[in-house]
Order: sequence, then C-alpha cells, then structure tokens
Amino acid sequence: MTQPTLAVIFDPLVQYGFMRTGLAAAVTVGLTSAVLSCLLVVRHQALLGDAISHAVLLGVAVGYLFAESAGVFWGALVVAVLSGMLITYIERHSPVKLDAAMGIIFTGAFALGLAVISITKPRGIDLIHILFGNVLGVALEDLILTMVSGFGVLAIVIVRFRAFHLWSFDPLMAKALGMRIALLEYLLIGMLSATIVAALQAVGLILVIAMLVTPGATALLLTTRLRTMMLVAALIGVLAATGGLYLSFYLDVASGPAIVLLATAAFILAFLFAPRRGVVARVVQRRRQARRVLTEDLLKTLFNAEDPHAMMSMAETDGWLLSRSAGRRELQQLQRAGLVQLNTDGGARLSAAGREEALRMIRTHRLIERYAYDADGIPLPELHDIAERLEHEIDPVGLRDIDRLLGEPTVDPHGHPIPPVGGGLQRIAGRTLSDWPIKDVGQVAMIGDDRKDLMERMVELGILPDRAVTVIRRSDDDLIVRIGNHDLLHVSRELADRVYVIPASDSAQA
Amino acid sequence: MTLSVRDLTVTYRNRPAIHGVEFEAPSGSVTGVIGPNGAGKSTILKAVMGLLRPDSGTIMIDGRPFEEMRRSVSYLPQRLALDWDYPAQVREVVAMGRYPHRRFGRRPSAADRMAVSDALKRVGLTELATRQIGELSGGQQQRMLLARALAQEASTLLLDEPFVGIDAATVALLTGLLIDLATDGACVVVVNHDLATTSTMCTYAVLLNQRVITQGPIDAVLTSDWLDQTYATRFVDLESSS
Repeated sequence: MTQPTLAVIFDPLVQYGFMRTGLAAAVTVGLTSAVLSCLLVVRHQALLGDAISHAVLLGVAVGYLFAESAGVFWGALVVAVLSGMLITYIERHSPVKLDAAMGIIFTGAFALGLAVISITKPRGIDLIHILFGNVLGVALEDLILTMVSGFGVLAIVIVRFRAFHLWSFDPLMAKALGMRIALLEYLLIGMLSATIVAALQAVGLILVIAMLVTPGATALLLTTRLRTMMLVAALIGVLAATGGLYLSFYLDVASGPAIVLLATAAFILAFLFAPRRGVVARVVQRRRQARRVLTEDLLKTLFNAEDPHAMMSMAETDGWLLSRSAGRRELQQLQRAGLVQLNTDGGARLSAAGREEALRMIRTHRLIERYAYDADGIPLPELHDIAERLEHEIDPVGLRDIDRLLGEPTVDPHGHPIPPVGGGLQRIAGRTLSDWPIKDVGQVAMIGDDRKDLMERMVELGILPDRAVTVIRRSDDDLIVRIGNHDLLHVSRELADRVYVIPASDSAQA
Repeated sequence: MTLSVRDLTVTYRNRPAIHGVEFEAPSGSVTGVIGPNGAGKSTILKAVMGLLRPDSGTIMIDGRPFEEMRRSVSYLPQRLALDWDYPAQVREVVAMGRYPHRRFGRRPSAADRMAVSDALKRVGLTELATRQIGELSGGQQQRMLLARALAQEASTLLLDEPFVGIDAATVALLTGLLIDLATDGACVVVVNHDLATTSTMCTYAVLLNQRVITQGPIDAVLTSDWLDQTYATRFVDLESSS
C-alpha cells in the first residue's frame, strides 16, 4: 500500500520541474493568504481582498503596457497598494462607509483594466490565467518573488502580532494607547497587496479572494484564540494548495479552482462538524440538553415526593410523569447511572448520589431565583419560570460566580433554604397555613412557587416571608386570616396549602 | 493624578457637541459625569482620549500634557461597542492591558503575568480565564474590561456607561473596585446616566449639558436645582447654530 501512495505524491515532483515550482508557489500563497484571512475576518473586512484583487487587473494591464512581462509584477503591486490606500482614504474622509468605498474602487479599477486590455490587446497577457491562475506555469523568477513577499508578510504578522491582536479586537483601545493605527492599517493593505500580486500566478485574481476569506472563516469555527486560528487557517491553506495542485495534475482540473474548492470543502466540513460551533454539534448539544432537563426534573420530583417539606414544584414534570412508559424508560436510565433504585413493583427511590444531585439542582434553582430577584429585580411570581429554565443551562463556575456576587445567601426570595454545597436541606419545623392553629400568631417562613396565579395573589395580599400571620377562622374551602396587623383577608385553601408557617419570632414583620 | 480639561470644544458635522468644557477630576475621587442624552458625556471621554479630534482644548494630567501620560490612562469603551465573537479568551483580553508595559519582541515578564492574574482575581474571573469571551454574561464581560484596566495599572480610568445592561450585584462589585482604586490615589471618571449609582459611588460630579452646568463635591451639586438646570435646559445658541 505504502509504495504506490508515495509514488503518487513524489513521482510528479521528481519528474517535473513545473510541479516543484508550482507546489512551492501554491503552498506559499496558501499559507500567507490564510494567515491574512484571519485578520480580515476578525476585522469584518473580508471583502478588502476582493476589492484589491479586482483592482490589480488595472495594474497588470498598465504594467504590461510600459514594460511587458517585467512590468506586470510592479504594476500590479503599485495599483494594489494605491487602491487599498484610496479605499481607506475615502472611508476616513467622507461619510461613505468602507463597503461602498470598496465597491466603487474595485469595480472602477477592474473596468479600467478591462478597457485598457481591450484597447491595447497585449499579446503576452492571458486574461484567463490572470483571473484564474496557472500555477503549473510559474517561472522560477515568479516563485522567488512569491516566496520573498510571502515570508515577508508572515514575518511582519509574527513580529507585530500583539499590535494586530489588540487593534483588531479593540481599535479604540489601540488608539487610546497611542498606537499608530494608520500605520497598522496601511501595513495590512501593503501585506494584502503583496499577497494578491504573489498569488496572481498560483490561483489568479478571482480565486485569491476565496483564499483570503475561506481559511480564516473556517478556522474561526474551530478555535477560540487568534493565535490558534491563524495556525489552523495556515494548515487549511497549505493542505488546500497541495491537494488542489495534485488534483490538477492527475484529474486535469484547473489548479486555481481545485485549490479553492478544497478550501470551500474544508469550510463546509467545519460548518457542519466543528466540535462546538458546528451545526451537528449544536443539534447534539440541544438533544443532550433536553435529556438533561428531563433527568434533572425527574430527580427533583423524586426528591420532592420523598420529602414533601421541600416544597418543590411538580407542575412542569407532571406532564411526563403521566406518560408512564417514558417515565419508566427514563427511570431505568437513571438507575443505570446509579441515581435511583427501582423495585419490582415499579417504585423508585433516590440513591445517595441521586439525592446529592437533586440537592444540587435545588441549590441551583434557588440561587438563580435569589439572583434574578436581588440583582435583576424580577418580580416574585416570575422567578420560578425563569429559574426553571436557567437551572439547566448554568454551569458550576457560573453558579459559583453568582453565589459569591450575592454574598452566599442562605434563603431564596420565597423563603426556601438554599442547601449549601454538598450539604443537606435545612429542616424548618412548621405547618402549612391550612393546618396552623386558630389564633396562634405565626410567621410566614416560605411560600410555594409552583402556581404563578397563587403567587401573584400572595404578592397582592402581602403574604410574604417573615410576615406575621394569624388564622381567625377556617372552613373547608377557605380561611380568614390576618397578615401583620392589617384587615382580615379571605384566602383559599389552595393558597393556604402553599404558605408554610412557623411560630412567630421577634423578627416577624407586622 | 488629577485630570484637568480646559476649553474643550467638539463639533459633529458643524454642530457643537460640547462647548468650552472645563473641569477637574481630582485624584483620589470617583468623578461622575452626569447629563441627559445628547449632553456630550461620551464625547468628552472620547475627546480626552484623542479618539475624536476636538476643535480646541487642553488636557493635562497632574499638570503635564495628556500625550505624555497616555499610557497610564485606561479607557473602558461601552461594552456593546466590542465584537464578542472575536476569537479571544478572557486572560488574553486582560493581558492586552499589559501592552504599554511590554517591550517590543519580548516575552511577557513575571510582572506581566502577576498583574494579569491579580486583575483576574480582583474581579473574580480567575476560573473563567480560559473562556471564550462570547461565553461570558454581560456582567462578566464588564468585569473583564475592568480587569484589563487593572492589569494596565492605569492611574487614570475613564469609563463610558459601564453599568448598562448589568445586574445590580455586578454593579456593586464594580463600584466597590472603583472606589478602592480612587482611595489608592487613582483618578476615576465615570460617564453614567443612572443617578442612583452615581450618588452612591462618586465623591465628585460634573453636571453637563453640552456645557458644564456645575461641578464639585457630590452633595453640593446633586441638588434638585442643579439637576433641573442640567436636564431641562437646552442652549438656544447651540441649537440654532446647526
């Protein structure tokens, strides 16, 4: 197996000089343009390469007019730099924004280039090669120019990396520190121009645009740092250049399109399969999230069933507890995970690990409620729904952060104790308002938050944690109570069932 | 570090945004710049930093031209002005504060690394140091920006609306840190439209509505008379000149 594979790679290089120079040129161009593409992508200037490369046609035409083939390189370089500077100048000194400035200059220069070519009809210019490249026709002198400019560009990026990094993330800070922004801007345009001109032979004016966008955009999906983004983009650029060249050699595809198609394929792969930001990863993560929500809600429900005083909500989980088979399957999964024990007649109870996990969920839920109430001023009745959603999304570090910001609170806004990390749920010795002895002065310890309508009513009536409460009269359906020293109130038993009362202390609020 | 601004005028499209602004932000205090929308609050900060070109004005820090002191000044942009999808981790952004301290081509020194870890610790982001910045909450992002200024060891801090869209707990943490910095001798200037946070945090205030209405210790200027003048007045001569 090894023998023929190596032959496929090395034979063309050994046998044909044009393959050697072609490969060297393509790799240099792929590498350089990929690194620059990262800067363009993070600066939202991806089309600057597009603009300059179109304008370069004018330089090619004029350069040839003056000095034939020898003039092409310098003509192209001069026009590239000039057009880039002109674009920046227009943007800085008029209300015209960058995108419009680029559109004007690149179409104008491109059209002028085409006009010059159509009038002078230069013999030595093959428009197709200029536009789409002919990497296998790279001469040694071209290769040397390409490599000099390519490695010059890379050296500048490496030496000035910190400046480019800061400037591309926060241009205002760069300016505030007194960095010479204009210098960086023109440096970028200069590097871009050199790369585009160097890429003329390898991929051509039109296709270099792709190489100045695609590798960077692909790498953005795969990395979280500019440094690694550049390395990954460089790898993509080099692989696309090499692969494209061999495709071109063996399948007789034009080299420029072959290189660009490979880079595009890399982007599509990353778009679909990137570990965190890819389409597939996001679908998988949503699924996993949905399952986690189910698991975590089930644990809470079981905890609640075993420990009615926890006063947790069951409303959201009721829906699927009714669907027996789904519940059963889910319970078996929890058993496999060691979180519950199932007995033969279908009963379930939490294992020690399951209890711990449920307590962690309760802690999360209540801390989020505290945070939403204290820090964001969300009204009491809304807290439960918000916490119910966020408790599955927040990660342990984020939760610790909230805990510290709040000063490690011990009760949630409904009066429920927040279990400490790794600790149990604090017991509160009391009764529901429905069971509270007539005429005894009590104090509201906590209020149940599972019914939004009842919660709204409690807020309205002022039945809130720490308020003093006395039951005056009780019937089967409702109670008459006094909250603090206000007038008597009618409350439904439904509501009274959700108010948990302890003997009044000195802190009870009248 | 006392920041003093003399005769600062900035024109936007032939229309004065701020006119003849003069104020002093004394060292050791948190100075609030207060005024209605369009009063030119952010414009002042940007003009001080040289981010836009004033028509006139002199900026001095401790009696020396601003340009000489530039690297000891830190500017915190409005949070939403930044691209949070940018590929950077929290520590890297905080390390950007070290830019003025680092020599060209050198690796970060032990002092650089210490300053970055200290800054992360002070704003409570140590555990999030390797997060991508886009994964932070708004409050955490604002803390990261302050950490960057801390890492810069700036002695003058200019903050543009640092509390927009931030929860109260983070506001408390940030104001605490700003007060500490001022107590240690820094000059802190905060542009803020929220009077409640201004009155708890600032010891000094500048009331602005295109011109300086008044300035001085917070208790002396946060009176209903001055506030009425600041929020009600529109200067006819400035309006009509457009």
